[in-house]
Amino acid sequence: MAQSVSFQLKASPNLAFVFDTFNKYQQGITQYNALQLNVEAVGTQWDLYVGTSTQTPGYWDVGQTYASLYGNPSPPSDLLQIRVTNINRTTQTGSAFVPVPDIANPLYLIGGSLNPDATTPCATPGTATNTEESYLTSPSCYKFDVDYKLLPGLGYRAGQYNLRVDFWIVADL
Amino acid sequence: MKKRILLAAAVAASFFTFSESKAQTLNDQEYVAVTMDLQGILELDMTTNSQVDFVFNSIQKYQVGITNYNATRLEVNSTVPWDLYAQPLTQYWTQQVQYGDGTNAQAQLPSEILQLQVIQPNSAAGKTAGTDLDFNTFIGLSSNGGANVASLTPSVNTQYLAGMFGQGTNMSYAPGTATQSPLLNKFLVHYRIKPGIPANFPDLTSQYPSVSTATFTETAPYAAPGFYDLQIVYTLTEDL
Repeated sequence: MAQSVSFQLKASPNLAFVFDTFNKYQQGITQYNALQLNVEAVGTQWDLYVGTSTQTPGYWDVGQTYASLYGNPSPPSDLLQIRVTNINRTTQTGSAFVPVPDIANPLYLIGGSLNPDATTPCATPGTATNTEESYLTSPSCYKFDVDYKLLPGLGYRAGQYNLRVDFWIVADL
Repeated sequence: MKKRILLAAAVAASFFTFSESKAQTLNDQEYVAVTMDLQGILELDMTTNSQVDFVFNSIQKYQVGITNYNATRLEVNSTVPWDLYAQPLTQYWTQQVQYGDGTNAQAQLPSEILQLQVIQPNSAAGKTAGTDLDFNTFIGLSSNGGANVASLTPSVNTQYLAGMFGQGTNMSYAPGTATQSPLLNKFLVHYRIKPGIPANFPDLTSQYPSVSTATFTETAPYAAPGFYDLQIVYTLTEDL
């Protein structure tokens, strides 16, 4: 039997956080349901993890800085926080926002770096479901809503910064 | 013939195995591009009345002067390093009305007769006492002979409430808000005018002797009675 894991991403793959008021700097910007991940695993259990990719691991890529020469020009990429949830709340991060680390040391949402993990079916709410199934048949465990939050504070140099968030699903063999 | 069939079956089986392994997808990725745009924001709020009046209608007020404490309250919110300075709009006070004929009196009064003191003191680390000008003690608002009025860019002769002329982390105040760091981002300004009798402004003589000498001459040794006004411009700027 063929084994495969895949997911689809719904909503825009580009997210912009524009800090143009003090309230945004101090309270941060949260983008709810910025995207949805639809998982489909056939013939294998699976892991799901996330991390950031930048030229200098752990720091945002600098698109451009504005006129100021002062302030920290290297914001750490884990300023970006993420919350991944589904109906059955199966992600290991729970419902809290957590910093997104570099992809070299990723954040596991389902499973872990050891293979294989214990098999946990969708019938067990509140646990990290990792069995083969599809978002089409079990959306409560296989559809993930992703929220993002960014709270930079005032210490960083004004400018435009970029990074990429990578979501990986791998067969947990 | 049987051998051929077995061989064909083996070949077919190997193709089947190959096509099955091709169908396996053991991982998949999705990418999201994230942009963070940190825009520079500078806000200066004055939360007090924009007009401060000095009415000299008694001998005591002429002699002792009038001090308006905490007359202006300024609050700074900034996401970038910043400086705050004050300049007069004009070199001289504008005389709106003159009382009497003004014989032997000077109607052109310099901005320096208005003294300011700012709480909290300017604490820029790079300041040199006596060189970099501030309002840490009562001092006349200098127009530097017209070279430091609000229509002109600041210079080494500009008086700073926060920061100083020049660029650098030790010459500016760090990003912050009035709520988070009131000792650095909130300012109270006292104003004082002391005309003296005769009204030749004794503090002007001590603080700006050359201005005093040029203003109060033998033919015009004191200020003409009248109604005068002067605008002060507070400027918040990024430490560029």
